[in-house]
Amino acid sequence: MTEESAQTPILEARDIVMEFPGVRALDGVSFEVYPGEIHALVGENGAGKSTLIKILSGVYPSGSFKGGILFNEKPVRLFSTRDSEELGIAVIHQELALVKHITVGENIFLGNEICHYGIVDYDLMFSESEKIIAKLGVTLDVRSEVVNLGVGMQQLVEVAKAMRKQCRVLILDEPTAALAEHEVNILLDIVKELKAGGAAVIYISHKIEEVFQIADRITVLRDGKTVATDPAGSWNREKVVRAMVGRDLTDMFPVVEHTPGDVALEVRNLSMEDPEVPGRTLLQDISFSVHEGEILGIAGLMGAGRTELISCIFGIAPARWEGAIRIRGKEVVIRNPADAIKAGMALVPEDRKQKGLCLILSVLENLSMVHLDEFCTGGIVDAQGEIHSCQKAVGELGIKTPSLDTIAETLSGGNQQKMALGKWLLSAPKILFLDEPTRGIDVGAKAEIHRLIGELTAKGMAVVMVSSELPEILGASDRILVIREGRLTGEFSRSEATQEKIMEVAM
Amino acid sequence: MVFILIAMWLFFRWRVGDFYFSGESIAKLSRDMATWTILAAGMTLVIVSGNIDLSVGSLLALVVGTGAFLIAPEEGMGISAGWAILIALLLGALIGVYQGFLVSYFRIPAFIVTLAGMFIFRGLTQKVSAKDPRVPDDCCVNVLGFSYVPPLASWILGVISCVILASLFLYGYKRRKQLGLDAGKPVFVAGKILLPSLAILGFVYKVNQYRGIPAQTLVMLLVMILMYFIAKHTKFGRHVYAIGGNPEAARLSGINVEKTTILVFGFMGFLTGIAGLVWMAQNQGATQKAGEWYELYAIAACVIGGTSLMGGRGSVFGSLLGALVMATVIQGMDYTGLQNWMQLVVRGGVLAIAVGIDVATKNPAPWMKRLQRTLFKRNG
Repeated sequence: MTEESAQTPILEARDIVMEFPGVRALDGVSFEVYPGEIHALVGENGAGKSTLIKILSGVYPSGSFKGGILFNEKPVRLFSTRDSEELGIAVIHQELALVKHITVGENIFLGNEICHYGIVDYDLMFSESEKIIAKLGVTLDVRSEVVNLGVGMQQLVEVAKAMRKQCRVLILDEPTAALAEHEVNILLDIVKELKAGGAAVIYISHKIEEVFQIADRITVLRDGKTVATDPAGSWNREKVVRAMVGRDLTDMFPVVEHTPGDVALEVRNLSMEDPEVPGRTLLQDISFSVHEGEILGIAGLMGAGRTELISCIFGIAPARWEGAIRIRGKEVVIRNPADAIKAGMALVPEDRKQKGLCLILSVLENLSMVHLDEFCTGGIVDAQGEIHSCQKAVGELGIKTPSLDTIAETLSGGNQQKMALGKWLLSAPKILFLDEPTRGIDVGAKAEIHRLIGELTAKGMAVVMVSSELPEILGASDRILVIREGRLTGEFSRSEATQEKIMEVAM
Repeated sequence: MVFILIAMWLFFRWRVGDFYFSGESIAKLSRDMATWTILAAGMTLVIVSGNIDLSVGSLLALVVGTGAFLIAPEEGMGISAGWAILIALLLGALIGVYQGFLVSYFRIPAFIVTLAGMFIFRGLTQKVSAKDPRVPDDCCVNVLGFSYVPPLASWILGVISCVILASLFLYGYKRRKQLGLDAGKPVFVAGKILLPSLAILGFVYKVNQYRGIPAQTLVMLLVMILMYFIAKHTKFGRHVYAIGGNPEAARLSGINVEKTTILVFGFMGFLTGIAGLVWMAQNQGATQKAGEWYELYAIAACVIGGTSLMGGRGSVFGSLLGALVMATVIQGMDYTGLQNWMQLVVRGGVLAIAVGIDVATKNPAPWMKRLQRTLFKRNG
């Protein structure tokens, strides 16, 4: 890479205006990225980041928006993702686009299989795949099915796929949302290496620390407009947040001194076998308790057993388990989620799209799903009463939706997450489990969800929160448990917990 | 969908002549579609729950065969019609429950369970209906066949249903206002009452020119109303939509997915039983070929009516409209004297085109959007 080539942007968007019915998603946005540069794009959900990416990658075809795209200073018209791929633009989306039940190698060459007269040359394909994977500096069997890999590894397969295409522009949309700390570092190192090799990288993330770690320049979008584009050095965390939300975010985690009451939930000696590997334990002898009016944070790496622990308590254990669960001192048997709900528990699962919501149903149907009984007499639903309650809930939770009949899918991530939480609150639970409550949602919505959680706790609800984001665990929890490889390895109060102490027992 | 329907009616009116809009023709249309439209009502729930039932045609034949065999004095056992009806309905419901059980607890895909059922029940039918059992002329089941609600009673029924419809809408309107909800403009509420009322009264007026509301049609309409209510306004119905939308999320919300699935198939079986009785009355007995293709008519009606095969979306009312489309095509082609092979081709074509139009309006493919844009630009 010479100085000159760095002077001209490889990909440039000029004065892009994109309108959807009723919304102007992008309003005159200009954006460019140079070879050998990592350009971070940040903004709240709905700020227009994804729309911009979809325009740059040809998802929204030329003609559906106003403004121009220049590649190497020449105007181009992209009509499909195929067109952008030919130019060497590769996108790694937030939701992985891998085919689960075929091998890593086949995925890397998906759509570009190495063929002789239409017959796939597997040997060549796998050996090429191995070369690419080796470049990434990880060990991975290219003949194993993708479904057997963790989310982190799957993300790397996506990167390998992009590298195979010899991309000149790599766009990463929230690549680390689902990754654990050490997987994030591997990915960031690889991105830096690609940059050193002359590739231009557009990096989208909600995690501001990460952006500062990696970006050369940062562009902040808000409401479809560019707030500012500046070298990373001239930004700092507060400045970025202010630019994103357009106001000072004084308190992400309201530090409220909760006064814990009686023990709400007690778990004794919980052990579970690994459903996939007989003989291996996934959870070993875990005991803890949660008080009313307390937020208990559970930290740990991916795969440490945090989600499984909650699953056991909520009646959806993936395998046989032993141990005792007591609710307010009384031992209970939970065989399925219905039992758990009857016992006063609620669970906002990790993956709102797969498990939390019925995306193709309406806001109303989603909100009233758990506590439909509240409006039922003899199995018949009182439609008006239901609408009334749900409308109240929408107001209280601050869900931004055109109407109750709006399909859940069309709402932004933050609003979906509020819905996934709100469906449990029509009749207040005693114990609330939150698994990654703010994954992949913007700063504003995050703050609102934490405000809600704080309010609920103040009213005496016991909250158990699992999160991979240490700042969140540290900011919100009254007490923190750390799990490593299925064992409880640490417990901290709010005052004694630090990022370092937690990582020390988690790794 | 309504526009497609009206267009088809006008087309056949033009091809067939005055007779097409006569009371007799309309009564026949509504009568002939009754059996498989009842199946379509149950099928809507099955498809919305994310499943499919390919066995209903064969199951209908088995119910008909069993019922007729039990009643028939010569070819069968000659027991009283009351018992035979009860046994036939129970048989349908039990087989439905059993299929639901296989789907939910053994995790065999519904497609496979009911495909197997389709063979099994057809085979059993060939055994029980081997002698084509006949139902005697004086049997009470025949009421469902070719009897009619007398014109005066038809008028009373029509008016009563309009009054009920109006009071339900007005009650909802009042309740919404009380709770401070958006109740909609009074004009729209009036429209929502008036249009269906006009349709009901128009229908009654027409069929009264012939002999009144056919008994089968009445059964069909009652089933449709019942299933509409179950789907929209009961806890069970809402759970069906939830498990069709996302079974995992439904389970985590405390919904018993297995029980709901079994109930859905149970309903389907029970409705197949009812449809079977109607079929038996229409044909005064059983044949080995009873209900052939009916599963496909039922599924086609649902799909034309906007029910998504992926589950989670659809409505019983839509399926009724879809069934009307299918019935209109079938009857219209009979009137125009199209050859049998041609009729099948047209039926398939209508299915594909109707669903194609539906998809194109709701979720167009990228090239369609592009085409729309270019066309729009040239015009404007």
